[in-house]
Amino acid sequence: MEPARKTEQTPWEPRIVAFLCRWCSYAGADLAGVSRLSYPPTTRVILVPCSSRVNPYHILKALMEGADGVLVSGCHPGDCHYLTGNLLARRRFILLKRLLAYMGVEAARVKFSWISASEGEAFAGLIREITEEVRAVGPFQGFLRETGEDVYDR
Amino acid sequence: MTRTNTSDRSWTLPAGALPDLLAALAATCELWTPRPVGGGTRFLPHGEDRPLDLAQTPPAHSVKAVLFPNPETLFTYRRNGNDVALTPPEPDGRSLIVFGARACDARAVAALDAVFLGRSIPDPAYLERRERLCLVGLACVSPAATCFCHRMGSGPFDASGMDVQIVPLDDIYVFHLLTKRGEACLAPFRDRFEAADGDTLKKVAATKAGLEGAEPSVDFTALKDAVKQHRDDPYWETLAAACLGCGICTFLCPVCSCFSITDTGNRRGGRRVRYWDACMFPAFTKEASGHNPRGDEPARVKQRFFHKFYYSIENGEPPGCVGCGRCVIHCPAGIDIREIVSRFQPEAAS
Amino acid sequence: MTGSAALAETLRKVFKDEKLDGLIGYAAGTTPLRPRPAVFTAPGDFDAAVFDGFCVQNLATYLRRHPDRRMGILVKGCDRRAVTVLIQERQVAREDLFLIGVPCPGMLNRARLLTEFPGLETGGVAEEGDTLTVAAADGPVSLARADYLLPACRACRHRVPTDVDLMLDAPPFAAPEADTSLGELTGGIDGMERRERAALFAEELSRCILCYACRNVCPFCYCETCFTDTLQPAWMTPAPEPNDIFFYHFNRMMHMSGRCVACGSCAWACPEQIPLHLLFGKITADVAELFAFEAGLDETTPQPMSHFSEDDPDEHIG
Repeated sequence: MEPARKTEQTPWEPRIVAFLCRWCSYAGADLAGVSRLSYPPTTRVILVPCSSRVNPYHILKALMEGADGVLVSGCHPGDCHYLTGNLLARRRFILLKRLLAYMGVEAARVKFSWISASEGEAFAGLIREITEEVRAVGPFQGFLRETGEDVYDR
Repeated sequence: MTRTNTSDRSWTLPAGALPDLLAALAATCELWTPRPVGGGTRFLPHGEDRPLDLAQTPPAHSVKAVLFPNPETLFTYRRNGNDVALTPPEPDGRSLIVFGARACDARAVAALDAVFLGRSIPDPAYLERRERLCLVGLACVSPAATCFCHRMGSGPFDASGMDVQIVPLDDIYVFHLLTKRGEACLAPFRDRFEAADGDTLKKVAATKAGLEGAEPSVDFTALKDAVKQHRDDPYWETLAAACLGCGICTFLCPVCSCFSITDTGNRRGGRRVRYWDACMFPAFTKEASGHNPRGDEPARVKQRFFHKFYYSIENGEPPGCVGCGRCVIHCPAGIDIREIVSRFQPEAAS
Repeated sequence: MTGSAALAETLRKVFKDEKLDGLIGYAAGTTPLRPRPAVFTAPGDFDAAVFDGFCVQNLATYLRRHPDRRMGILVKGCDRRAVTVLIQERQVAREDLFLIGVPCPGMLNRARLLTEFPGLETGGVAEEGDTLTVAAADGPVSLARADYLLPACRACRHRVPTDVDLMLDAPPFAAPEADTSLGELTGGIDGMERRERAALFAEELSRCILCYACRNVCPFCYCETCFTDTLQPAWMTPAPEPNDIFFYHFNRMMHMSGRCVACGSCAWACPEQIPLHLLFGKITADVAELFAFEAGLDETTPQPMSHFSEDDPDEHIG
């Protein structure tokens, strides 16, 4: 990842790691691109075979390694290429989202969505939305602390 | 310690004056005092946020946690283009006073010294603190049921390793100044104290006499031989049957000093961090090939006690146990080091 | 039955009659408040057998250490539920086990008793009915047992093990049944401001030394290599820094979801007295609320995290 962190010259911009499933959401992001839709350049996309491939480790690790927000997006329920992957993921993520909030992590840091291959507009809109939400909560300072004593230029 | 029991080296302080003394020390020194956190008492940088607790015996963590903190940043690194800047932590010029350590923990410092300073190259991070250390110990007037310092060749009034030893009497503290460093730390506050009179010293002696000689010390050389003789005893398997392989016993032990080192950060900057490691963890000895020479719990449990009672003695280092009882208190599986000593002690005594 | 001699006789008889290779129970420890888990393998071993209000540790943790052997095991309600989960996860086979049930009287908070009554280490605690008599330094003190239960036990609704091969009589001491629930124990935190919640966990977890007692004592933490120990990828560094402590506890809880039987062994084993019931209580209450599931009640209901419903909630999708 190239530096987007606060320096004298460039103001801080949110950095969002987006785990996109290859069958729906990645294609949706692709469509947003080929449709020349405009949305903030804040995402770093990681292609995954299915939203259920995403493990809590990946989400937390992304935040620990410098992401300010994480998005996981897969196919709509019923549309999963593997039939039920996104339904298994949905169960996992609701517990994850609740436990993160419970332990004091801002809700805006981790987002889940369903974006289909035809929803380029929805994808661009979602990125605009979560970029502003992450911007509102500011740079991620690490878990269990509110000040970023350990944040290096990244 | 009779040589120090002269009034010019034994001072008294009214119990009520202790908070002010500590505040004054904290203004000029790095002062650590035992204060309660989350149900246990541990040494923390002195402050008014939590009350002093000199009663919990032993405190949850020993002096080890101050001298050899977990985790500890050895240096920070920062990369700028092709340059890498390494910055060691700022040295602290002040005295480092640990206040209220018991005899067991003070004795354990000698064992830590053997590891960190006893080789040709002293450990710089440890040395930095050790050179500043002034250990203001506290005689133990109410040893816990899990304490066994007597058997480890010490006792609640053992002052070895201390620079100052405090004995609490009814409404006063008697400060015995044992070393030059102890004197230097307290000299600026001399006017807060009074010289101890003969009656006070008699009371101290009586308190001490009341707590001594509960049990005889083991003969460490004989214990070493006995342990070695039973290297292949099935006892180790029985002992390990309930062991969970967690790090409680080693982490809370004032003597156990194994550590590992890791880097945290990224290619632009970060820190090199030292943290406690434990021979009870399988990964501690796992080799790159995948082979693990201490591959099961009995082997690891045996190693822990061999290090304490065989290797350390064989190498001429202080025994690996000071009898603080922390492992006895906290082991979920109820493994009691006193039983191991007892098992081999008859042979050790003969 | 819980008097040591009678208990010893019963267990010894079971051990012989059932031709067991071993029997996992509790034996007297070296101080009154510390009975310890023991694997009895000979008739003579049973003289040390005890059962009292300090037999907290979930014994199911030890079952996997004895593959292909016929093992007896003393089970409270939570141990029994843990055995069920292990059977569901194909870690043990029911036919290899001889389950000796004991109605649980609710386990006691040793750390709290010791803090409040110094001197207890030698004197111990007498348990009778719903009362505790502690040998405090300045004379005996009577306490209500219910006031000194561990948090998990205060919320327990499954004290009596079911489907056991032999049920022991209830001990002559017990606290009344649950006066709270895991949802209640954790609900207060849900109601706090985010910064307060963050500060609470930062404060409590900052004491964590990553000794992994909570993991190792857990019947369900049996992975060959824990995510804490993998080097490629190194998910976390092994030093107890805030990020790594959070990563460990958070992911352990994710692994516990739908499996945790809320026995409280992890919180009990923690040498730093970190209130881990706030974590497993949360995940357990969430699983119950969202998926109407409680772990270890029967072997046939599939575990929720390996399962799904098309009607699952999607409050988190947006």
